[in-house]
Amino acid sequence: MVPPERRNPWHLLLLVPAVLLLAVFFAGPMLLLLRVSLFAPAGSRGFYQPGTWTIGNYAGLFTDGYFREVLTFTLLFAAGVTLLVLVVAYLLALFIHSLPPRQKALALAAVVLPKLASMLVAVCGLQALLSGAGPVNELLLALGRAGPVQLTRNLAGAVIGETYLLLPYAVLLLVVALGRIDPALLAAARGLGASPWGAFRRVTLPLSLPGLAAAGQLTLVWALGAFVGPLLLGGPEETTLAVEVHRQAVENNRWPAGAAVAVVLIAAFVLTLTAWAALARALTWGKRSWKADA
Amino acid sequence: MGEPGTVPCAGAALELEGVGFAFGGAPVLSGVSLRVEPGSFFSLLGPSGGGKTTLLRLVGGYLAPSAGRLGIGGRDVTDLPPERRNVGMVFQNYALFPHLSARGNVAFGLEMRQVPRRERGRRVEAMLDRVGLTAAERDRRPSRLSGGQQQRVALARALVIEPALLLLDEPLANLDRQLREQLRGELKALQRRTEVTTLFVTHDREEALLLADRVGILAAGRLLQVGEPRDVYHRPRCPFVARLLGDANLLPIASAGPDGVFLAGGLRLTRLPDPPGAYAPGQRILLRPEGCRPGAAGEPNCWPGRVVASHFLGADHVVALDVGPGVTLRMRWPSGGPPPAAGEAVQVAVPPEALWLIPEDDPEGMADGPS
Amino acid sequence: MEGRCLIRWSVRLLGWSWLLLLLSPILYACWVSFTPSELLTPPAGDWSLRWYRAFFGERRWMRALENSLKVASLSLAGSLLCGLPLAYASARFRFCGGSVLAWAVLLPLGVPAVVLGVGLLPTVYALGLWGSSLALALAHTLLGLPVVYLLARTALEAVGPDLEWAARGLGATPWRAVFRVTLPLTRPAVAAGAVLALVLSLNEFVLSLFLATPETETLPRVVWPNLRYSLSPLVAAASGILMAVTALGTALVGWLWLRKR
Repeated sequence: MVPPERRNPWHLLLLVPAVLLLAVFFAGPMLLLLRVSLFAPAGSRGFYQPGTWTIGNYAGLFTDGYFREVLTFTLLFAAGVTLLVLVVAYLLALFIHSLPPRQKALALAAVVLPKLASMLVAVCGLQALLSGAGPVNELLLALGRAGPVQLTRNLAGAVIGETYLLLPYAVLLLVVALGRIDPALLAAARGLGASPWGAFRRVTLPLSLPGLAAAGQLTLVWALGAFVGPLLLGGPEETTLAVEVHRQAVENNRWPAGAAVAVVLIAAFVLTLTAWAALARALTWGKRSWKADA
Repeated sequence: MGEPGTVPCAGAALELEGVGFAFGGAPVLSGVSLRVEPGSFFSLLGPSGGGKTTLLRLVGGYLAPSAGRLGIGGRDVTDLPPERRNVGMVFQNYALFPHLSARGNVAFGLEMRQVPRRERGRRVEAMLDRVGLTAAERDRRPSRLSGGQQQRVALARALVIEPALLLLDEPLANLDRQLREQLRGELKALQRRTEVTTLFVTHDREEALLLADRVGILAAGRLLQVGEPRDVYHRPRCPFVARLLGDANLLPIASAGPDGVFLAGGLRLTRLPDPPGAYAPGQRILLRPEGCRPGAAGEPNCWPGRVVASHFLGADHVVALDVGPGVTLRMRWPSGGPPPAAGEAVQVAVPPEALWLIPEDDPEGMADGPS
Repeated sequence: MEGRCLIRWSVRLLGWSWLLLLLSPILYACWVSFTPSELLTPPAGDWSLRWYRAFFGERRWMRALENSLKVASLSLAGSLLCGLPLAYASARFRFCGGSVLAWAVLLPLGVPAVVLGVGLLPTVYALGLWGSSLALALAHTLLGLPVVYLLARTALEAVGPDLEWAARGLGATPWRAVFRVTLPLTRPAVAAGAVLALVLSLNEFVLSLFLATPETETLPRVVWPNLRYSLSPLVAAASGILMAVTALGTALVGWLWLRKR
């Protein structure tokens, strides 16, 4: 136990810049967002009509069949992308984890590098790769398909794009989680007579569940707010809540309606996260109890 | 004498008056009063978690006491930050700066004091000479020095600033036994030469007794006893101190009369160092294993016993004797004759000068003695 | 035994090709940018710098590049200014609300940028900052701050307070102890945080979509509509330049911070 240093109220000054920034540029805007969603729309002048209170923006959304479709699509899209990301990321993480140190560093660099370039660069590359005349379709044609497969401006494009954008984070988290598992445990399991598959199923998999839960949570959070993938690689059908926020607020210049969609998105966000946390706790319950002992 | 506002150097007295420290509502130290004479070596001995390191950090100024005053060299330093106390400290893990060479570490304190470059260099080299670091080792980073060398650098760094007070937080704990024995000799010699007042914290009783001019026992946040090592060893104030300083037979008194004292297990003592009236039931008498000797039946203060176990410890041979129902006595067998084997019957004689009536009970909250 | 070996090699091959696949969009975008044709196809025979010349010839792209650099450096400074003291305070002291603050800092990374943008624009408008690079830089600081904070805090906790205490005991004032001991020891982590903050700002475009005006628009903000509505290889060239700028910025910050004194 190391008690804290001698007290000095001046230390609180260290917090001032960060707290100020968060208050003015984060807490403030989020509260304002809530307030704006309750203003009457202003038409072409300004963002909203000051001084008004209305729940019309929300009522408008929930009586709108189109909005319900958007909401459903967002949730399904997020769930699908998260699942896809987790499966691919887990396999990739297992592969990277099995590499010797030098190759491992190289592989991790390959995972991280796309994240150091702008998403837009990645999207630009994906669009070129997946286009009707792109190399993917050339390959398919060479393999004997009759005509080019549509891979952009539709659901396939949106899913591929968003999965590609979210994959690296999940891979990194999972590689870290696998690295934390003591290799002696695997050796012990083998020594006790487990086959490689048995050792994986009984030792590696259960011990990496917390990492899987964390990766899933992070991916889900970002997939719910999916914007770039659906907008740039999907078609008009692939409208998520985030895309809808942008469409209402910027393209239709209906700021209060956009704010209302944003509030719904945040609500969906909080609900999903709570559900995920409960699910993760149920899945890793046994592990939590021994963690508390350690 | 020194910069204005800092404590003057060399041979200052350290005084603590009713110092207390609480952390998160729980008292870590309470009512510690202590005076360390100028130029002396004071060992603070206690079990881990007893508040030793906290006390050291209070003296160094890294923590602020919640009660009491601290004085160094006659000056109240309670509210002074560490950089104005002129106290050199050797941390348990040495806390050497990993980005500076051994030389850079030692020069750091002089730089902070704006000692001119040339004098700084001279003093750093002189101090490194003193602690015995070779020229090649002086340019190395701490990570490339051995434990013993790191310890020397830490000591040089603390001493080169000519501190009013030297604080040592278990500086030998991380070293292997042989090196520890060598370094504690060097430490003592260095302290004698520099005459710097030294406060040394340890949980190793041998180290505490060997190095100190005076020793203090700190446990559960309280200073239980202060005195010369020999005195504290032979005349502990409470059972906890008796056990902390060495192997101890603590014999509870069952009844006391004009012709002697009966101990638990029916043992009788007829010759005692104090008048029989001083003894009361419930008190305990300390008998160190080396205080007993083999005796002959009929002698006063002599009990028959049976050897339960016989331990060869190199320099010593200790036997455990069953001397009465439920009473086991540990005694050091003199090196003259062959030690008895388990099961043998022997007589133990207890000279009155080996007995010490422990005057006090353990303070509350100290039920568990040191193991 | 041979079967085993075969399986191992095919797993290796599969794994590495997956990793290559992850890199392919980026590499492909770069390759395409050298095409002489009007279409988003790789150069068939000759490579051409035509689209790069087009980029540097157009006033709008150049101004966007300039804006990007300006906003990114401002936001880098802001992230360090806010993140380092916060990391120091939470690694070394306890204060009430500390754990809440530690969470709150991370939130801007989780909230969809579109949502943040819808809230930020009226705020910036009300503050009278609309149309300034400063507003954009501060918005980007929201993303750089948590990264700098996390990395710096982890490093500070690893270094621990003992060395600072030792420096204080040797006569260093609190400031000197931080500058002579703590900062040099946490420099790699701070450098990594700074690089990431810079990269985040250079590449960020959703917040820019809301906050940038034609005078302050950044490079990704100009790439955006081109990517959405017209697919000319100029976008690929702009992407390539964006990547080059990012790499240069990374190298510069890394070098400034890590070079030996």
